[in-house]
Amino acid sequence: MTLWDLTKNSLSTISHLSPTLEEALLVRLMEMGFETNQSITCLRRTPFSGPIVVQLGDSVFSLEQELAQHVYLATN
Amino acid sequence: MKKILMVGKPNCGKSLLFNQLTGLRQKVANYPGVTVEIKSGVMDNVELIDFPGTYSLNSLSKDEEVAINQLNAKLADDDTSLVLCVLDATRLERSLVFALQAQQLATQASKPIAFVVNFIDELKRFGHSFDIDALSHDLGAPVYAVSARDLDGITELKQALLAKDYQTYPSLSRQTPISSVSDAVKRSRELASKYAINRDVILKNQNVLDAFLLNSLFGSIAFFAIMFLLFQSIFTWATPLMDAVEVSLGAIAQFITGFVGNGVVSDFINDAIFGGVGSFLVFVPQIMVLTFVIGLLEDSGYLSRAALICHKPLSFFGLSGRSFIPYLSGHACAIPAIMAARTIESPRKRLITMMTIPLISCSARLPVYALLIAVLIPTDVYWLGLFNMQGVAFFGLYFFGIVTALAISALLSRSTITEQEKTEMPFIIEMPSYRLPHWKPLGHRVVNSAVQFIKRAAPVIFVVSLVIWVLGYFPLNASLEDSFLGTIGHFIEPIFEPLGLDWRYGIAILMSFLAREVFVGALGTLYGMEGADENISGLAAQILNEGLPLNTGIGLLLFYVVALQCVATVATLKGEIGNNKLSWGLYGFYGLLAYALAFVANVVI
Repeated sequence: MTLWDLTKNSLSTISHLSPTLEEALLVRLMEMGFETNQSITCLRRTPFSGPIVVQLGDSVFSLEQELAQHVYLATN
Repeated sequence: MKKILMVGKPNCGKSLLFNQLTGLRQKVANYPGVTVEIKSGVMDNVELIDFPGTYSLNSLSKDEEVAINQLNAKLADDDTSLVLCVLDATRLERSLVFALQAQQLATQASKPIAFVVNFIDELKRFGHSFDIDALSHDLGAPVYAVSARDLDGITELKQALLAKDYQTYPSLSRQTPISSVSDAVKRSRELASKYAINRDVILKNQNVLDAFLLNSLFGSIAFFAIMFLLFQSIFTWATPLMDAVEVSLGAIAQFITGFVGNGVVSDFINDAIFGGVGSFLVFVPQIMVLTFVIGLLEDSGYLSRAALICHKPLSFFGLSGRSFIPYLSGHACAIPAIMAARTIESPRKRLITMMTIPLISCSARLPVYALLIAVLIPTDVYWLGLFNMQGVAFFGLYFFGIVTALAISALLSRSTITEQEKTEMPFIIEMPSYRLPHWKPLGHRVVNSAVQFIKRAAPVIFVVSLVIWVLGYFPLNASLEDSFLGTIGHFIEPIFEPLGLDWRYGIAILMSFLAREVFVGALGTLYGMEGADENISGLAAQILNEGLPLNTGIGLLLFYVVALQCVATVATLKGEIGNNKLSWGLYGFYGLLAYALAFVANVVI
């Protein structure tokens, strides 16, 4: 399951980031808090598969499908 | 002079703090081709240098690379006495990730660092406080808690920055430096758990507002209301200011020419100098108003939400959600629109947006459209018995401009244009807290936008208007038809013949390469009419008398939708893209495309 599959108002935990992402981008995402075992909440979905809005740590981010699909969540 | 370097992540209130510390005078250094702006100002006898907010010291884009290279260069400077890193108290964990990296960088350069925790007023509002001395101890560097907005703690910070000799601050050695990014992330988390405010408390207000502003129904209404206001501001509110500029320039010109009497000198001052200068100074109010409104949207936090709302539909055309505002602004004037494209996070999408903005029908095309539509379509024709056909034609032209812009964007997004946009930043943006904008950084930005525009456009416009004036004025006492320009017009008539146009249109089109609205006045002069600008229907009647075939007219309209006939726009493109060839290349390309469309319309219809 990836971040893109997270429904509104549900909470999950990041398992890992897709290793196919560019190294520089992986580092940036890590700096933003996208790290293993971090809990992440979906605050909002936008119509027509628009960007997803998530709360991660002390910040709220909006990211598009192509990126959200590279963030894997722990299934439990 | 001693230098203090200010760094921090975006939305940490660094610009306001910089303004509060330095006062009104500041210098802005721009770097061509990127949106990097490095501001410097003086605080007593120390120079403060404000670097653009970045999330990281590992660059992802050309913009960040330029900013980080500049930072490294300044770090190596002997005059640099301190790095001042600004943190957002409401986003302490994210701020610390950057702060720890900045500390590592400063230590490597043997420069001391100090931290400023901003937005302390917001923490107080939620009844949260933290032990500053303990944080200072944990970080191994001095920490100051301030509110740049309320000026809380600013005096103390200023005194400390001026008085302390940071070279002797002993604690740096106490800390083991971070070894990697993941180390910085880990340590930030530990520190945040000790000092930061509960995240749910701080995000609650923001999330409540977002639930409204990002709601499918209310959010869309709010979005359209805000964009309507923005459109109004550039179209309606800027108009009186633009008129004021025009009138006062005219008055000054008249005042000066009063001293020299009639003749070549007087005409030169009136038409070449003031006419040329005026033709681009009138844009200044519009640029300032637009910068102000966009600044309000950005500083309040709404711009990120608007980008989110627009992202999906625009991504079909290879654009970003942030391309929407530049496109919208382009309907008033391409120049402020191109400057507004700076907020687009992806360099590639920014470039594509800037390259296609000139296709959006700006207000300078209005008089041309008005004239030709008046010639081609009678006033009392209705479409489906409901809609005035002239109005429909106007809409059609605007729509054609948008469609062409989107089509070219889609084409451009499938190819690499320049080396600069190789690394691509996917769409991920932080939704900052909603805040009331402060006038100080906003005011500086508005003034700076005008200064930048004048600096860039003035030289080009001046030369082009001078050349056109000389060609149109000489030989002395000749009519426009017999002037050098008229001779050129006759000479190039074969070029416009396939479009069904005679030499008069040729000259008017040539002259309108300075600025499109010149077309109406020039054509008026060639039809033996003075002041055609104010009497479009009179000129239309005259053209109608001689007859302008529908196919030729439509071709000419399409030509004006597509052609990039605005030297000020090219100058702005050159400044923002940082690529001379590409900017003039676009000028040529859109000119050829316009010609081709006009030709096809003339032959096929």
